[in-house]
Amino acid sequence: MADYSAIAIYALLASIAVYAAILMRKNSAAARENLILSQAEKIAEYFSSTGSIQKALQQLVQEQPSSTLAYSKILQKIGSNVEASLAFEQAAAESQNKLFAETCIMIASAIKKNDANALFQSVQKLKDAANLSKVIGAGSEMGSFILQFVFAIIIPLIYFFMITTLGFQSDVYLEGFLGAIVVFSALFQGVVFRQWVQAMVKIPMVLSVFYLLFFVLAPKFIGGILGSIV
Amino acid sequence: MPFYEDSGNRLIVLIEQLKLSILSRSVEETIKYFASKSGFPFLNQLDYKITSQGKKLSDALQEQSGVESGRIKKVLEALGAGNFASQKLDELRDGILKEKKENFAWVSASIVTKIGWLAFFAIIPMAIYFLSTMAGIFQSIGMSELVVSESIKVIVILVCAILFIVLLFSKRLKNG
Repeated sequence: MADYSAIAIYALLASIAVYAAILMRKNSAAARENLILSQAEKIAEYFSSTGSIQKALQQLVQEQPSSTLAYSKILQKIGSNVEASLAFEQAAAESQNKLFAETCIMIASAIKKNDANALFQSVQKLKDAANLSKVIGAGSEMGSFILQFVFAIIIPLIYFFMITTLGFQSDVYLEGFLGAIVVFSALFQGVVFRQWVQAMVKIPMVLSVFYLLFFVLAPKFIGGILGSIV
Repeated sequence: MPFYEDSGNRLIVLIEQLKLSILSRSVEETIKYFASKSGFPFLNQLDYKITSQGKKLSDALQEQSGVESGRIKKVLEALGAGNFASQKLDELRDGILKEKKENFAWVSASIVTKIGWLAFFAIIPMAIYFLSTMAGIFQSIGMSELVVSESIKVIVILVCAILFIVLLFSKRLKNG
């Protein structure tokens, strides 16, 4: 059989790098969402205390000048005599960020009714939902990690030990079964948690480890205890 | 998963938007407003029925309700509740959050048991291969009935693989 160990090592390193990049991007998206919700909460608070959306925006922009560029633009539009609710609707239509667009639509509706309290309660509910999602996300990640740790690392290592140290006679069916377990454990993340990109990156990662472990390393160690007895 | 990527969370955002909108607009106007702004197709279909086909709100809601199911159907029922629409939307949102919490609690409680069963199905083929490896010893001590044939090994592996995959992706492990 041809030696693909160099390809397997490159595939492993490349998939680790892509996976790390995906995780960083995901964390950055989550941080952006947190910021959007907490800024919407601040706007509702200031809107309630000042009674004016313009003053509320001014206060927010003064407090967080580096992260309120979109709100500064809305403030400029309101300053140039565009109706406040219309300025928020325009910002929603122009925004690339869906959550920001949705909060702008909520703020526009609250401005129409001049009801800061309703806006505050709605934003609070979104924050509750976001916090619950965080708790569920962390728990799910942990469950997924344990499952993949067991079936992509522990079980293959047990098999490796059985085949090499103990000397069990392996064949293509057993290796196929183990390969399927490893691949399906990686697919689990995509099917159950809808994280398809991460799942797709994990497959070359686990397959390259599987190849290195069972097709490159294992043949060098075979000839174990049981093999010598039998 | 980021907050807005979850379909349940997107629906909660829509519910809050609808609640805020019906404070200052009628339900018909709210549907028209969100038909162009929201990513939920049922609002477009409702707007088409009201604006283009000239149907009454209650008729359009009822008709759409017959097509939809689950949470969207409940949103439509809430929109048709007149003065109680806001209250009904509140109840629906709280229901969604409660359901997510309960699902998560269930998943957390069941995952350890599930991993145990999965590990069991992953180890069985190794036990069969152990018996297969020991064939020479079994035959020499006159216990040849313990010798595992090739066909039995393949059948056991196939059965274990199928059970493993079914159990791995069974709905009990679905995320809340």
